[in-house]
Amino acid sequence: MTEATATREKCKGCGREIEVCSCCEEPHCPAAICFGCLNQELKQTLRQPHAHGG
Amino acid sequence: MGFGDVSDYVDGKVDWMAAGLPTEGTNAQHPRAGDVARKDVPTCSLTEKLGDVKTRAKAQGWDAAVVVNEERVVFGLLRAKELDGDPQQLVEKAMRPGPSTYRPYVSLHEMLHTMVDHKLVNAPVTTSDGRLVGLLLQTDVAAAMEKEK
Repeated sequence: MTEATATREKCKGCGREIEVCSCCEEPHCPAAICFGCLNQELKQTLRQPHAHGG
Repeated sequence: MGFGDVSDYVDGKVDWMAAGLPTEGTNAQHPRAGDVARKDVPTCSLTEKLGDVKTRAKAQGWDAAVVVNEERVVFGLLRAKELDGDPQQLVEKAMRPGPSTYRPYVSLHEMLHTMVDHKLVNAPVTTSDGRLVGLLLQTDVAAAMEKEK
């Protein structure tokens, strides 16, 4: 296992692998979250209700 | 309908709120991140020396500074840990580049939750085009929420 793989974290929202927590940017954050999920959590962006354009 | 002067804010309601512009309705009465963020946070440029910024911040009672350009767009953040670095170092080398920023309309409840979860003592609040509104302190958020009860 490479070092890069070993240090990857999972987003608490979507489970996607992320390099570092988008919120605190600290390694081994217990509440690691990706940029997209952080913005949704804070309601800075809203999930599109449909996958298509309308 | 009796309106004399009507404008269409093309960028939408969220962008309006992100600019810290006034809102109406039930939720408008509750303080939000932009209301509690401290507007007097010290700022500095990329080319200043860390020691000079630390001295200036300390003199104003701060252990943090926000790195901005001439239009107050946030480039980085200097928390206590970064300010304690080599005083001869340039700010651009010492700062936390591109910190996560938060919009002024985010509720205090959500901000406190995030700040506690991630052990953030402070967080920069900016408009959607990245201009600094102020620095939000976790202690201020907790105090404002206590006052709201």
